[in-house]
Amino acid sequence: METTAQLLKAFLGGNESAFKVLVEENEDLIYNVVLSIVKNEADAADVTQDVFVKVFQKATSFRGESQASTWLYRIAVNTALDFNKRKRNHHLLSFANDLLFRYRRSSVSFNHPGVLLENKDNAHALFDALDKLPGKQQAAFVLFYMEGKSQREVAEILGLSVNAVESLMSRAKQKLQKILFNYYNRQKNEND
Amino acid sequence: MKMIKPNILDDIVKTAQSVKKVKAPANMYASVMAAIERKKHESIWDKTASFVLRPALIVPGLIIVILLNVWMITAKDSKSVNFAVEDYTSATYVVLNNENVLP
Repeated sequence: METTAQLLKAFLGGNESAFKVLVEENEDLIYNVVLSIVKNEADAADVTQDVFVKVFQKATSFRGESQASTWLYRIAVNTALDFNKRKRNHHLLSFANDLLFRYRRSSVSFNHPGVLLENKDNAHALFDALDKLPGKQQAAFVLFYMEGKSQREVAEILGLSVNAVESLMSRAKQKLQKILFNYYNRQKNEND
Repeated sequence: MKMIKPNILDDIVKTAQSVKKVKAPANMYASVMAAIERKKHESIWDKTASFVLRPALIVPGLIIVILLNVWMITAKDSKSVNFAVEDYTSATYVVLNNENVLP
């Protein structure tokens, strides 16, 4: 099995089938990161497709300063965060529509196939809370806790220092704790 | 009701880590290539339209048009006021300096 860097190099050398292998070897990886950020299967498929279109178009800009997988992750995270931003703006525009029809949608159209049924409520609450975090905090949390990346890898993907990532993570956890306090408190009360 | 302080962070992390990895939809490569082909055949007008219709351009454009309109209306109004003042002063000047007019 060739590495992502070798495949990129082969693709840049004119080997189109190397791009096919690159997509097939990385599609699950990219799809899962994107899915954790956009939180919806259909949107994640579209965003994953956009990520590989960008890889195809920008392959020449890969200078090999970072690992190819880091470069792929960076494109995936940025594309997913941009998608969320556009979606949020679209929701703002349709706010008037919501008011007119007295209809309030959930802030996240949550549909994650990787969530176990018994965890669905907790996961829904967590993803809803994640959506309220600033983009970089959200990305850092997803990469560290859900993708199992080290702080150093998260720093490389987000283009930050390790200290900055540490501080991002700590702020993300504080905010999540604050947002989810009532939810978890209610759950505990119900269980006791 | 007595508030129980739950160990929220543990629960949050446990929930995040319980999310299973899933497989990407089938035929991802085919859909990527189709999207690339579509982009290749996008005409220059499609690209220009999608660039011009971005909210980042539309909103400042609208603001500029509104400001231009406001400026033109206020400039026109102040000009007509100036004419009126000028007319008044020139008329007064004529009256005051005309020797044939009785005081």
